Amino acid sequence: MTYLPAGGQESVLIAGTQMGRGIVARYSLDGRQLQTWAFRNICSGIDFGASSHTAYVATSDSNEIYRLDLQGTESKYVARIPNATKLGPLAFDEAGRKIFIADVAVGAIYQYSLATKASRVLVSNLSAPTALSFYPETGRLYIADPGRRAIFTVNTRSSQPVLTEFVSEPLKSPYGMALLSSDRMAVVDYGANSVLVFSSKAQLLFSFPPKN
Amino acid sequence: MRWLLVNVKQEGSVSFSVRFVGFEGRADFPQPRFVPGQTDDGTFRLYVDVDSIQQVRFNAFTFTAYVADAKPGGQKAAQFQITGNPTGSFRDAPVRVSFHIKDTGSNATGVILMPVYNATKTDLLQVEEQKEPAYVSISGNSPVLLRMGNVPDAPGISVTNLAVSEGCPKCWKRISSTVNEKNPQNIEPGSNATLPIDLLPNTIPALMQGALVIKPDIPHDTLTLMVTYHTVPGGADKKQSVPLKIRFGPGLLGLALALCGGIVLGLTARYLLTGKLGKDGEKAVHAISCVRSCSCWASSRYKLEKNQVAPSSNGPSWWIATARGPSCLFWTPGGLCMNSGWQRTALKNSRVSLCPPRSRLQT
Repeated sequence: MTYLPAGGQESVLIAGTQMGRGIVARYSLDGRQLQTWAFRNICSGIDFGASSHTAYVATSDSNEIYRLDLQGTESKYVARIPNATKLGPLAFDEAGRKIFIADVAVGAIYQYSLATKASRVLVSNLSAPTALSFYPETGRLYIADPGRRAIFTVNTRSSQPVLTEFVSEPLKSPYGMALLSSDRMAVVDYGANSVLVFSSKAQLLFSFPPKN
Repeated sequence: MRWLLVNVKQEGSVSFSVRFVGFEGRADFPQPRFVPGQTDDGTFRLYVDVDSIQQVRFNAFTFTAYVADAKPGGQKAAQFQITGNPTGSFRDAPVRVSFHIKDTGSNATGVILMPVYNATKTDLLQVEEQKEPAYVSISGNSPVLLRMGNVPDAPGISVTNLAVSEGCPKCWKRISSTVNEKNPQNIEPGSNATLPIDLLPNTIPALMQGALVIKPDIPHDTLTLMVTYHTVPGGADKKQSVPLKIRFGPGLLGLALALCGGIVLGLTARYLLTGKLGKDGEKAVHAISCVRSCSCWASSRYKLEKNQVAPSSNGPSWWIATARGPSCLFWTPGGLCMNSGWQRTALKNSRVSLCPPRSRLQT
C-alpha cells in the first residue's frame, strides 16, 4: 500500500489479489474505490513517485515490475528480475530513477535502474524482508525483516552498500513501517499487535496502544 | 545446511532458503517446543523450534532450526534461520522434509517431519450445511451449537474468535460466544467440535420479523459468523464465513391462536360458572360466539405445521387449521371469524368482517 496525493484528492494505492488474479485498487481516504488496474499475476509491492506522478508495482509469482497509468486503467511492463524467487515489497527512488524490490523467499534486495534497465543484488543475508521504505533526502533504504526481528538500513548511494541494523529490540515481528518525518519512523509489529515510533537514533519514543 | 524443495500432497510445493546465524551454546532441546530430526548416518540432529515459526507477508513463513552433534555431551549448536516459500493450493500440513548437512569431510542427509504452511489456502474448517433453520425462542436466551470439523492428517486448528453480523440487527439484543484468544476452541485432526453461541433476540422486532415470513423452511434472519482460527503450531490467522439460518419462535400466528384459545376458555369458564356471558339483556352474540367457538375448539383437529403455520398458505388470507368438527376458527388479515360445517376449507383473498356468507368461502 502506498499513499497517493494525486488529482487534488488524497488516496491510497493497494496491491493484492482478487479472485486469484492481481489487482491494484485506488481508494479515497473515506473508503471509496476510485480506480482499479487488473493483472494476470499476483501483485505484491507498490510505490508512488509524487514528482513524476508514477506508480510501480511488483508481481510475486512472475517477478516482474509494471508501471501504472494513473490517468487510466492501463499498466505497462517495465522489467523482469532474473533469478528472483518471490518479489515482495517495492520502493521507488524517484530522483535516482531506481526501484528497490525485496525477494521475500531468498532474503535479498534487488536494485533496478530505470536508466540502464539493469538489475543487481543490492544486499542479501536477510530472512524475509516484508517492507521497504526509501528516504530520498539521505538515500537510505529501510528494510523490515520479521525473520530477523529487526529493521535494517542500507545507504543506496554507497558504492559498496552494507546492511546495518537500525533497531531490533523490542520488535517481535516487524511487518511494515513508514517514515513519518526526518527523525521519526513508525513500525508495525504484528507479533506485538502494536505500532512503535522510533527516533532517528533508534530510540523508542512511544508505542500504540500504550503498554499501561 | 541445505533444504530440499518438498511436494505437499501433489497440490503444491515449498522451497526453503537457509541463512546461517551463528553458534549458540545450548545442548537441551525439549519437546514439544523442538521437533527433532536426525541424519541417516546418525551424525547430526536437527531441531525445529516451533515457537519461532512466524507467518510473514506475501505468503512465506520463517522459523529457527538448530543443528547439533548427535553424540551426547555437545555443548553448542549451529543456529539457522529458515524461510519457507509455498506455492500451489495445498493446505497447512505436516510433511516429511529432506535436508542435507555439509560438514568438513562429511555430507549427511536426513528427514524431518515438520509443519509447512500456505496462507493462500483458506476455509480449512469443515462446516456442515444447515438443513433447516435453527429455532431461537423470542422469549429468552437460546444456545446454538455450531459444529465444525478438521480433516485427518492435518495440523490441529485453534478457533480464537467469532464475530457476527446480523441480517436484521434490530432483531437481536445480544449474540455472544465464550471463544476468544484466551479461551480458544481446539479441533484435533480428524475430529469435530462444537462452538457454542448464545443468542438473545429482541422480542418485539424478532416477533415482527417472524410474522412477515411464514414458510417454515425460510429463515427469519441469517447470521454471518466470521470464525477466526489458525493451525497449530504457528499457522497464519484465517477467517472463514459461516452462515447460520435462524427461525424465531413461537410465531405471531401461534401467539394469536393461543390468545384466541385463552379468550374462548375464559368465556367458557365464565358461562359455566355464572350461566351468562354478557350483561343482562345484552344480545346473545357473545354467548353464541362462545358456544360455537368452544364447540369448534373441542372437536376440531388442528393440523399445525412447524411454527404453527400451514405450508399451503397463500395470498393475504391464511388458514391455520383443518377442521372436521361442526365449526372452526379462522384468522384472516380482516379479523377473526367463525364458520361451521365444512372441512379443509381455505380462505383466499377475502377480507371478512365477522362471519362471511358461505358463498365467499372456497371449499
